[in-house]
Amino acid sequence: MEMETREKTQILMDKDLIKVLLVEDDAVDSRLVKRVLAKCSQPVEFAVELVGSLSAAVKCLGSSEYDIVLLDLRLPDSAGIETVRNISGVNPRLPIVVLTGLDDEETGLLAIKNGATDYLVKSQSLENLLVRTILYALEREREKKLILDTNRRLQETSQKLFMAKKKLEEKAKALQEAHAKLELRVEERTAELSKANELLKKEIAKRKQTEEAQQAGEANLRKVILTSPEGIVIVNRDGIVQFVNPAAESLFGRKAEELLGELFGFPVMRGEVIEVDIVNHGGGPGIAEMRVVETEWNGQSAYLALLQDITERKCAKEQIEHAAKEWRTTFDSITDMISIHDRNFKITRVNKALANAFKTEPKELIGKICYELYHGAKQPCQNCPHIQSLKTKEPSTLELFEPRLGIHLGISTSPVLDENGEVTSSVHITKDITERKLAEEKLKKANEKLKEYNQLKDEFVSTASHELRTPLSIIMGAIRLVLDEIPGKIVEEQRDVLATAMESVERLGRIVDSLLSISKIESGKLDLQKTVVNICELIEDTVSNYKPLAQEKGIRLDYEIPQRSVDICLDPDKTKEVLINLISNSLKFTPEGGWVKVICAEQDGEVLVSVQDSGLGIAKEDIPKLFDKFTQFGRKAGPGEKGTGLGLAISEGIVKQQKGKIWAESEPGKGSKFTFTLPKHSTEELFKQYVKNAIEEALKNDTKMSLITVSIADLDKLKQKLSNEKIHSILKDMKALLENNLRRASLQRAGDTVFQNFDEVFAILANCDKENALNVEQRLSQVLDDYLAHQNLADKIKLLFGCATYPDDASTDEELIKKAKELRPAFLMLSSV
Amino acid sequence: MLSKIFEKKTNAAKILVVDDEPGMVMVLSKFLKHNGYEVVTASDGLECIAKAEDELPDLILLDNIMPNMDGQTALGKLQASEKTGHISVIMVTALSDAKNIAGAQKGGAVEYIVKPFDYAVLLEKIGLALKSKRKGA
Repeated sequence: MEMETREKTQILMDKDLIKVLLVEDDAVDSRLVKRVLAKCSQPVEFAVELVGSLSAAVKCLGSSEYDIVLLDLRLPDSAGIETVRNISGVNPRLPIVVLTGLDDEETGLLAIKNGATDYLVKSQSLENLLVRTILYALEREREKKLILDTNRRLQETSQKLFMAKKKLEEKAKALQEAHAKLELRVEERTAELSKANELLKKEIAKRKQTEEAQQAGEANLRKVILTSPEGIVIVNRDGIVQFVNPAAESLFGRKAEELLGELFGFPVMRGEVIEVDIVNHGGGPGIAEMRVVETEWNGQSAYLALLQDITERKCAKEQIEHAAKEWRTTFDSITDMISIHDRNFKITRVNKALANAFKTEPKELIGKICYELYHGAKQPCQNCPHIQSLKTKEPSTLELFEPRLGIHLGISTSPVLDENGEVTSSVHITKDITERKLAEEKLKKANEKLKEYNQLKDEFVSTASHELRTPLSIIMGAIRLVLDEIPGKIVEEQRDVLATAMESVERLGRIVDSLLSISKIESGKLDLQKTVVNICELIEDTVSNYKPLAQEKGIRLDYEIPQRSVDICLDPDKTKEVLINLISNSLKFTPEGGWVKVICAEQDGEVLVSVQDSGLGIAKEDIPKLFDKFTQFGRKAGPGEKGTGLGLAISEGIVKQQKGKIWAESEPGKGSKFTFTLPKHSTEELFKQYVKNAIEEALKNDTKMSLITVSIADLDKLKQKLSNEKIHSILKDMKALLENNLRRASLQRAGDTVFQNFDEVFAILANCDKENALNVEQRLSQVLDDYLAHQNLADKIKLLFGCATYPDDASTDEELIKKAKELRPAFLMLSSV
Repeated sequence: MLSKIFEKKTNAAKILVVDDEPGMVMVLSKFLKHNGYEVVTASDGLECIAKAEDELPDLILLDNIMPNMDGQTALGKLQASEKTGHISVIMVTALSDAKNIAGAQKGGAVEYIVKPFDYAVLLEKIGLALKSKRKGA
């Protein structure tokens, strides 16, 4: 450190005089500084100028140069840091050393921050430090200046360098351009030269070639000819073979020696192409195409025959031609009219039959638009099968009458698909189906006639049966009168005879009824009075009716039914008739000690009812005829009522009319099993069906019908108080009450139905107007109130009613149901108040 | 003897039997008479109306298919008339289709019996009809 200082001080020696501006108002202090500087031991001389104020200092700085300012901060016209700023403002380069008091070192540091170079505390050590501080300040300033100078010079150099580089680049660019131009010129020149060179070369080659060719002469030609795959034969004017190449040898299957000097044997005519027979590769016959040109041979004019084996090509071509011809003839010999139409209805191909229909040639029709040509229409026909096929990619058919031709046409189109599965066109096959149509019409007419006859027959049977009924009832009545001894006493023998007569008359009555039934079934006039019935109950009922008869005959009669009720929509009387037919048949053909069983089961949306017995059984060949009319087989029936021969036919009719099936299974000696099915419906469906039927009935009879709804109010709340079973049983009771109280008169029949849903009961009243329906509702409400009171439920259950009449309130089943479900308390008639 | 006839005449219900078949009329009459009813007869609709007005029976057994005027028409006229409207009518006919039954119902018949019928059943229905009529009246 010491060393360094000395060195630097020595550098300063160069400067012989250091000019100092001392800014100090205190005379003692200024004197001290002056003295210190004067006494300086360093080989430096100080020239000190003293000013006592800032303004004087600024003035001095403006007029002469100083190396350094020694600044007291407490001046009469300025104090503190502001003084430093002011001095520094005059000449920022001038080193300033601040002289501060002993207690104000902080101000000194602040002064450095504001532009001073250093500070000194005015004290005894001033003597030691002042010169050094001045020299350091000067040195720092000098270094700063040096750095700045160096910097500036560096900057200048760098700028110069940059400029030089830029110039260099420009020059390089210019050079490059010049170079490129030069190259282009060179290239052009080279190309010209090489072109000239090439031409020269070619010229040379040409000359050389000609020379060579001339030189190689026939040797070369010979080589070509010898290796040519085409046969070459040279024949002179007299038709004598002069030359044969190897290809020709093999084409003719003979050696050159054999051919040379011989007659060629084929007509050689210049410019013509003919086919000649040759030997094929395999040794078989083949065909070659021969072209002939004139040439010279040994100085004489001759013919050159070129032979090409076209056996294979010919074969392939023939095959294609054959196939095309075959297709064409097939296409044309089809008697159906065929045309192929593209997506735009343009006809692309037609066969002869179609052209014939238009009395023209196929080519006349190609390119025409199908609807214009075929139908004389301006637009595609609406039901066009071609459009259909384009759309669906499936074949389509249409039958129509073409008035211009006076024939019926059957058209079928098949789409033709490309490899992407898109329809490109369709094949239109049109048949004259006039004959078939006429036959169909004939058949239709015949059928109508037949229907007419059938109807006449039905009417006849119906009338005849009705006509029979009156005399039958007279005979029955007359016999009954005599049997009851009203006209007078009869003896036992007379009674027996009359009883037999009575039996026959009763049977006759049944036959008449059956005939009427079958004629109704066959003419589709069977009136089904459908209602929702628990078929299990129906079975129980019927079986119990026949129990005594079975017992009498020594036959066990049972049934097997599901535990729960199986409600289905059916005509109970007619269905019972089926059951009776089957049960009585079984009883009839089952010997004593046997059994008959009625089984009911549910399966896939239908109910199966079977009547099975351990009876005689039926021969296999008789089973298909079982359900025919008047078929009674050689089975020996037991004692009892004689059948009518119509029972099974009627049963089948009844079951089928109810959309069910009936069939028999049997084995002789082992018994029979007759089964019929009936479709099941949801309750809602059944109910709707019901209302629909009732409306239809009303419409048919030109009457009105009404629908009454009875509903339990606040059912949800009630369910918390009463069990579901209880509610169900209440609803069931309500249903029964409704059934028994619908009408006052004994005339309640056909169409009156009570229907129970999960939470409501409905009454469908046939032939019932609004007034009547409200009457019924009032009565029902009284009956139901009585019932609820009796059951101690009056306080728990409130009933709501709804009533709608067709056609007053609604015209469809749905509307009517909706209307009838508009609930309110029971309707009260004025008279009853 | 006289008193018995008188008693019969006063207490027994009077039934008008209408049928174009004399046999039917004969058998029915005998039956009804045997069962204690007073019987008057007619052989077609026109006669039926005349007899009904004259005799004012309690019940009419009415056939449907008859010459001059059929049963259905006669039923309508009987019911429409003030004099005979109250008389119960039972249709006794060979026609068993729903249309005819509905027609009778609409026309005001209280019962519909299809020939050939069981005489016991007929008597029962006559009894019921008369009973309900008495009750209703």
